[in-house]
Amino acid sequence: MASFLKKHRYALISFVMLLPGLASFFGLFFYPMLVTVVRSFRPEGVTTAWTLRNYTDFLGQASTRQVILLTFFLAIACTLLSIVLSVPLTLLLRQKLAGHRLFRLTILVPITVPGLVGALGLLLFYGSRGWLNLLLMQGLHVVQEPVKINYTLTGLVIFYVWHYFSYTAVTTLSTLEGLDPAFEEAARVAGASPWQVLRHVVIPLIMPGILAGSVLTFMAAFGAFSIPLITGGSYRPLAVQIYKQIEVFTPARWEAASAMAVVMALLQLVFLTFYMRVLRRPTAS
Amino acid sequence: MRTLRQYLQALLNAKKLLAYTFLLCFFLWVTTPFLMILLKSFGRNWFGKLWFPPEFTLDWYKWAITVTNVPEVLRNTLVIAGIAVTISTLIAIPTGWALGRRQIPGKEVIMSTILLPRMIPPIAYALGVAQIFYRLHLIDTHIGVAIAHVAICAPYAILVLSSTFEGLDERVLEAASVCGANNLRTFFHVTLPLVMPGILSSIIFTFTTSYNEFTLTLMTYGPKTITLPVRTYLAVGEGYWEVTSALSMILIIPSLFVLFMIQRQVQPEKLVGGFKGV
Amino acid sequence: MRKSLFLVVSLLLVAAAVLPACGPTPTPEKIVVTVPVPVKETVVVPVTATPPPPLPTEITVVDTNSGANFQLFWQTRIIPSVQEQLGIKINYVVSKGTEVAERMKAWEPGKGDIHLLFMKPDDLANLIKSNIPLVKLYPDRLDMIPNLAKCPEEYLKTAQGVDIQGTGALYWRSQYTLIYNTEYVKNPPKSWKEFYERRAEWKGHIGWMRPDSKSGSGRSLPYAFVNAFVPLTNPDGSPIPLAELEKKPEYQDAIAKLKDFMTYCKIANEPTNMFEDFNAGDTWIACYAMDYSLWSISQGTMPPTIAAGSLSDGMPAGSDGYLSIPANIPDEYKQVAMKVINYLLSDDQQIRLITEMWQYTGTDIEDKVPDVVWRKIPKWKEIEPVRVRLNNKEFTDWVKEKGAEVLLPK
Repeated sequence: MASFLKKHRYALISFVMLLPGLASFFGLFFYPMLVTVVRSFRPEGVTTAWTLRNYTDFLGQASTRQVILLTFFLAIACTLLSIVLSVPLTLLLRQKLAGHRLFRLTILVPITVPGLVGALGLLLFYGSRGWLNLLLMQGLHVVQEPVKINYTLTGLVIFYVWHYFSYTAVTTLSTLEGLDPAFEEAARVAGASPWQVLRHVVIPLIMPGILAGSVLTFMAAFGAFSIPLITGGSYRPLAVQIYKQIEVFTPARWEAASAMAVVMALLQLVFLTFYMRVLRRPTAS
Repeated sequence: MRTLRQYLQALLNAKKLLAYTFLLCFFLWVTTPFLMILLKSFGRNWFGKLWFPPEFTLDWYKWAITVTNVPEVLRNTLVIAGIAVTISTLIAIPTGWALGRRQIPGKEVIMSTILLPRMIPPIAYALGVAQIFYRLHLIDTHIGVAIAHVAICAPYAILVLSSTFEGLDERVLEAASVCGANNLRTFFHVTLPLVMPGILSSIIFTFTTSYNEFTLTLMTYGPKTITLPVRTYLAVGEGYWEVTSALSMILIIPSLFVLFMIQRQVQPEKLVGGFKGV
Repeated sequence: MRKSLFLVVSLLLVAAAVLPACGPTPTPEKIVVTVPVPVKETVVVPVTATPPPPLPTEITVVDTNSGANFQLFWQTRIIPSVQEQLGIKINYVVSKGTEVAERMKAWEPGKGDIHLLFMKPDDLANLIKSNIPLVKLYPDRLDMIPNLAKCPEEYLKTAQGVDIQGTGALYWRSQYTLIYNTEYVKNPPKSWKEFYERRAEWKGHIGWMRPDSKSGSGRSLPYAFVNAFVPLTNPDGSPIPLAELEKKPEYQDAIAKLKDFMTYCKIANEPTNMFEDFNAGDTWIACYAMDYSLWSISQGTMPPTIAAGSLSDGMPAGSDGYLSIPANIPDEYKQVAMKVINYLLSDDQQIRLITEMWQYTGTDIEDKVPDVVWRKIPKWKEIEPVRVRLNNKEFTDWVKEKGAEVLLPK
C-alpha cells in the first residue's frame, strides 16, 4: 500500500485536487441530468414502469415542430445580428476615440444586470407609449399609430440581441486588441486600401474570436428562459414550454417536462458539436 | 454585402461624426430602457402618450420596501450568493490548480466535461435538481438554493482559476523552492498571493452569476428563500409596473457596483475570453 | 499506469452516480417516512399538572391570491393589526398555487411549515383534487372560529364546483365589473350579447386576457362570455359535463362567437399588461376585478376617467379568497391559525375590506356596512343575481389547457 502510494503520489495528489470539481460536476450536473433523463421515460405519475410515451406525445404534436423552429430561429437570428452589431462596434472602439471607456463599459451592462430588469426596461421602451414610439410618432412623425414591437417576433429578436450580444462583442474586442498591428501595416505598405486591409487581413484574423463569441451568444440564446418567459407573449421557445408543464398544470407534469428537456439538451448538443467542427476547421476563414 | 461594405468603409474612413453617432445610438439603445424604468419608478398619473410623468412620487419605493419585502429578499439574495461564491471558490482553487499546473492525462476532456453544465440549457438539469432537492428537503433552504447555483458558478470559477494558475510564472515558484520553502509554504506564501487577482475576478463573476440566476432559483426557491430576480418575475406578472420598476432600480444597484469593480479590477475579456477553449 | 488508474476511478465514479438514478424515481408525494419513535426515559411525573406549552406567537401565511393592492393591504393593515390585537407575528409570503402544492406534497406529517394559506378557489379545488390534506373547518371547528357561521354556506361547501368539504373559510368575494374609459366609450354595452354585437365599434381596443394567464381572469372572462349564450351549469348550480356541452350546437356556436370576439380584442398576457394598455389609451373597455380597478384609480395607476358598469347576463366572480389550514402541521400552530382566521372574519376586519379596498366581504354583513360605500359601488343584493361563479371546473380546466391553442387568434 505504502509503495503504491509512493509510486503514484503525483497522480494521487492531482486526482485528490481534481475531486471537488468532479464531485460538483457529478453531483450537481450529471446526477440531476440523469434524474431528468430517467424521469422522462416514466409514465405520468408512476415511479417504476418505463415508457416512451412522453417522447412520442411531445414529438407527435403538430406544435412541437413550430416550437423547435422558433427556438432555433431566435437563437440563430440573435447570433447573426450580434455579429453584425459587434464587428463595427469593436472596430470603432479599437480606435480608442475619446470616451471609449464608457462605451466599453456599456457592452458589459446587459450581462451584468439581471435579465428580468433588462426585459422590463425593454418592454417599457418599446411599448406603445415607450420613447421609441413617441419618437416615431411625435418626434419624427413617421407613423400615426404606435408600432407594435412588444410580444412580436421582431421584438423578441431585438430583446435577445440586447441581452446576449455582449458575449460576441467582448470576445471580438479582445481578439481585435490582441492583433499584431504589423500585419495591417504590412498590408497598407503594400498598397491595400483600408477596406481591403479589413476584408483580407483583419476580418480573417479575428474570425476565430468572432466565432467563439458567437457560440456563447448562441448557447445563451438557445437556453434563454427568463426573457421569453415575460416578453414572449404567444411565442414560447422550448425552455418556456418546459416550465409551463410544471407551472400551469396541477399536478405538475414532471415526466412530460423532462422528456422535452432531454430533447432540448440533445438538440443543443448536436448543434454545438456541428458548430464546433466548423469552427475548428483551419480553413474556417 | 455591398451596402455592408459601403457602411463599413464609411465607418473606417474615420468620419468621427459618423463614428460617434453610431456609438451614441448604441449607448442609448443599451441604456434608455433603464431610464424608462427610472422614470416609471418615480412617476405618478402617467397616462396617455406623454414623454415624462406629470407627477413624481416616492410611493412606489415605499411600497416596494413594505409589500415586496425588499430588505428580506435582498438579504436572501446576498446570503445565497455568498454561500454559492464560497463553495464555488473552494471547489475551484484545488481543481483549478490541478488543471492548471499538473500533468493530467486527458486534461482537455476533463476540462470540457466540467464545462458541460454551461453548454446544456439550465432548465434541463434544473428539473432534476428540483426533484432531488424535494427528496432531500433542500427546497426552500438558503444552502439548497446556493448549492443549486454552484452547478452553474463552479465551472465558471474553475475555468477562470485554471487559466490563472496556468499563467503563473514558473521562475518565481522555482525561486521560492530554491530559497527553501516547502510545497505548502510556497503555495500559501507565493502562489496564492500571485493568483489573488484571478480569485478576485472569479469571485466577481460567480457573484454576478448567482445574483442574477433565475432558472435554478425558480425551481428550488420557496417562501423563505425568494431572491430578487424571482421577486421581480412575480411582480412583473402580478403587480403594478410602477412598483416593479422601483424594485428593479433597487435590484440593479449591486450590479452597477459589480460593473464598477469589473472596470477597476479585471479585464472584461477574462469574463468570456476563457471560453475560447470550449 | 497512471492513465489506467484514472480510467478505473472515473468509471467507478460514473457507475456510482448512474446506479442510484436508475432505480425507481422517487416523487415528492410518495416518500415512505419512517418516524423514529422516541423511547421515553422514565421520568418522575410531577404531582402538579404542568400548564400546556405556550402557543406559538409566529406563523407563516402563504398568499397565492392577492394582487398588488391586497399585498399592500396585508402588509400595512392586516399584519400590524393581528400583531397588535392577537400578539401573533405573521410571516407573510407571496407564492403561486402550483408551487405551494408541490411543497406540501413533500411534507412529512406534522412537519409542515406553512400554517395558513390564502388561496383562490382554483388553488383550493386543486389541493382537494390532489388529496393534499387540509383541516376541516366547517362545521367541525365552529367552536374555534365562531365567525365562520356568518359566511354563506354554499361557498363553504363548493368552490369551482368541487366539494371542498368545509376546508376553506371565505375571507372575501371578489367581483368583476365592466370597466371602461369614458374618454373613448360613451355608451357602454349592457350585456354580453350587446357587447358581442357591437364588437366592431371597439375593434382592437377591448382588453382580454390570455386563456392560460396566471391570473384567474384568463378563465373567468371566457366562462362568463360562453355562459351568457349557453348555461354551463344546471339551475341548481351543478356543472354540466363538458362532453355533454360539446354535443350541443349552441355551445359550439358560443365557442365560435368567443373566438370571433377575441379577434377584436387586444390580448394581454397578465392583468398588468392590460393596465398598461389602459394607461396608454390603447385599451378602452374590458371586464376586470372591481376592487383592483377602483383602487388603482385612487393610487394614480389608472386614469381617473375610468368608470365601472355591469352586464346583465352575467358578471364573473373574481378570485374569491379562501383561508385554509394545512393538516400536516404541528397541532399548536393549527390553534393559532384558527384564531387568526376568526379575527380576519370579524366584522371590524371585514368592513375594512369594503370601505378601504372596494372588495365584497366574505361574511354576510351587508347591513353593517356604512351607507357611503353603496354610493360608490352596487349593493351585494344587486350583484348577486348576475354573479357567475365558475362552478364548471371542467370548462375552466379546458380553457387553461387548450384555450391558448384553440381560442387565441392566430
